[in-house]
Amino acid sequence: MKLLRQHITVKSIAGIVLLLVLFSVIVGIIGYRTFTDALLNQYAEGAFLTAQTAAELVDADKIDEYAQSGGVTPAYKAVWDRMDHLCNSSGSTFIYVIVPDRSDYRHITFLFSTIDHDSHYTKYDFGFVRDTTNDEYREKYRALYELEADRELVIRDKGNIETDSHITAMIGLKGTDGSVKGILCVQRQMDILAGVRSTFLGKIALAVAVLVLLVILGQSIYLHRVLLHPVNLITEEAARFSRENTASEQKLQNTIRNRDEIGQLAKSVDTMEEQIETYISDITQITAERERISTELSLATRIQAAFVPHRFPPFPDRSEFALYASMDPAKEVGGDFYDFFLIDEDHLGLVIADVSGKGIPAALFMMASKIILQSCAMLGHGPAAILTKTNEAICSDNQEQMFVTVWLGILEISTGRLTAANAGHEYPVIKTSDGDFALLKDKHGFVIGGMNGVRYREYEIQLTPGAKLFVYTDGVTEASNAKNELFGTERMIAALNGAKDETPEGILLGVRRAVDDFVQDAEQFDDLTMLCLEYKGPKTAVPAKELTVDAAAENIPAVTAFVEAELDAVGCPPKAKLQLDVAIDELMANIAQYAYAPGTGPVTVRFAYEEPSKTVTLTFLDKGMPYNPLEQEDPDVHLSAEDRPIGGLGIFLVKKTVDGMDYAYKFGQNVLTVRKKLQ
Amino acid sequence: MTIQKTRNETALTIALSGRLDTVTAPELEAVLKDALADVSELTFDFEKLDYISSAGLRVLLSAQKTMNRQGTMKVIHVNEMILEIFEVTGFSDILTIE
Repeated sequence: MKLLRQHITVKSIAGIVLLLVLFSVIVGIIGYRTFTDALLNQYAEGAFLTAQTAAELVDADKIDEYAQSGGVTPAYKAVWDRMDHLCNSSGSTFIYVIVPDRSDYRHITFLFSTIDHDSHYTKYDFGFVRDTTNDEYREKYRALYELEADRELVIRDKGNIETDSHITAMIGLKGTDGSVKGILCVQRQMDILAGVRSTFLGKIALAVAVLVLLVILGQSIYLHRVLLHPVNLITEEAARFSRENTASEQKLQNTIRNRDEIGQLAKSVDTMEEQIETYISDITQITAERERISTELSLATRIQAAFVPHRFPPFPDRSEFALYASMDPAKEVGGDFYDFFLIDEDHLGLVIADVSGKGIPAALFMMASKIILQSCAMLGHGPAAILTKTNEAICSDNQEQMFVTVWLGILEISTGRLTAANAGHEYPVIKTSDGDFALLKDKHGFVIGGMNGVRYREYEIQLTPGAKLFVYTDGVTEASNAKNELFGTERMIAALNGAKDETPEGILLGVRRAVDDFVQDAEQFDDLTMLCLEYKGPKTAVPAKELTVDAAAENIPAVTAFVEAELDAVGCPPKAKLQLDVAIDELMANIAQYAYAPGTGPVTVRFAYEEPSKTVTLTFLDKGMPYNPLEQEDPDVHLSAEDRPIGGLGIFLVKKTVDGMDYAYKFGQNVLTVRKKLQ
Repeated sequence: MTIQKTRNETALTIALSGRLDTVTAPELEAVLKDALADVSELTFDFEKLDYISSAGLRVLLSAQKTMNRQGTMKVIHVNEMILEIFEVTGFSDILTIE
């Protein structure tokens, strides 16, 4: 920083000094020129004046006579004496009269020649002939003779202090006939000029030096006060601000009162600090707000997740089909959903849908769509009618122009007949009993919410036992990896067929795994929602495996006898049989005691056995008051005899001896299911 | 279920056969109510008992509470299935099982 500041000072001063020197040189040159010209003029005028006076001494008509005189006649002598006197009294160095050689002016002949006695020159003798000094003199001579010039001047200025610098003023000596008879020359030394000139230059140099020093000093002080000091203050303030992030109470503009760019900068820094401070507090507020929104969003996620059926198996007492579904929103909340519900004992509604867009708006729209779809379905309409009615309901007040694609199917459980309609949703995938999964290219209607008055067409598929249905949203097929390749329908069907013999849960897991392997580290872009149904076939010999009795303790042996007979038929080992007997005893006792209290009512016990997994399923159905025994807390089995309450062990005992228990309240019935694996 | 009582002065042995469940537990409860008056040593012989349900456990717990006040009680010849139930329910810590 210090280096930089010095740099600014040095640069600034160097620039000014350079300008100053340049200026001084120009001024010096101009001054020198003007000065020299003025002096020369003065010299010249003086020389001409002397020449004029000297010319009057010489009678031009007598030039020839003087030339013949040999320099000894009294007339000649008289002129010479007066000329000599003039030379010594006028400050001239040399006064002489010459006659040049008229052919080419290369030679001159001296007629008169007087010198300043104090000078170191010697005069030329009368009649002395010498070469013309140079071409300049020759041209001047010629001008006087031939071009009728009155006077001419030759300046021999060597530019230095040598006394050789001189001027020569020339006047043509004209006879009465007007012709030039000779030339009178007056030469003066310019020693004064040289001396004055060197003094002049010396003074200018001194003045420049003093000025430069003053400028350096002044500029340093000025720069420090006007530039460096304020810049330092601003720099320190900026550093302080970046450390503390609070605007200073001592405003820079109060300290730096410059009315220049620096002052402007100080003001700007003040304003910037205030704005940044406001900005920081805004950001803090926004962050808090965002936190709140994020909390609400995670709540929304949980609500949405809870809003679709999420307990599996969803219908444990229904052996005719198995069902599994999953939903993974890309954002906290998404627009995809699946749904399934029993419309009545023999009809299962299945829905998979994808709302346009994502996030909260999609989630809200999804909620509305799901409720409307299910409500319409519960009225007992066919899929096409359900979609048509749902479309009307949604279109009637769909200001945001959102839409939802829906595949909706209704399975007639007893026959395996699946009636479905498709509102712009992905093709379902069907696996026949012993075949592979394959796309079912069904007829699509327009999306729901897109246009009023759309009619949908429904179609039927016959599912045979072992058939499977897989429906999904585009999040599956359009899952993309880092190279932006899509997962695609083909990979999906390959994944399905790779797990085709699994349970619906296993199949979804297989697809999910395939998608994950494909996508790897790329971000999940769309919601991932899937539903898989396995149709196991209608119930067979239902009456033989179901017993309905009055809910009373004395009917327990009858139930036990019914179940034991079935267990014997499937080769149940004695221990499992006894354990199931305990379960029957406890559950029947519970129902007898509480379900219809104080009255009584029917209880139905269903027996089911699944050969591959060797699992016995006992379902107890009663129409008594809704009560979920699984919510009962387990007793503390570590208390002493005195501290233990009498009772409360029944359900606990059953939980401990069977392999699975489920409870649901459906169609006005308590449905309690117990599963036991026969080893 | 059959209940067979053998009385030897203040010692009472009750041998059960069949199932001790919701239906039969009240029978045992009624028998014990009358028989325990001056008993100081109560033995349940479960040799021929097939299984026990929570209703039976209730009766056993109530008998144990009574005997804690007036003597001792033990359960003998317990089969594997019933022992499992005793263990699951913590009764194996409460009862004296031989």
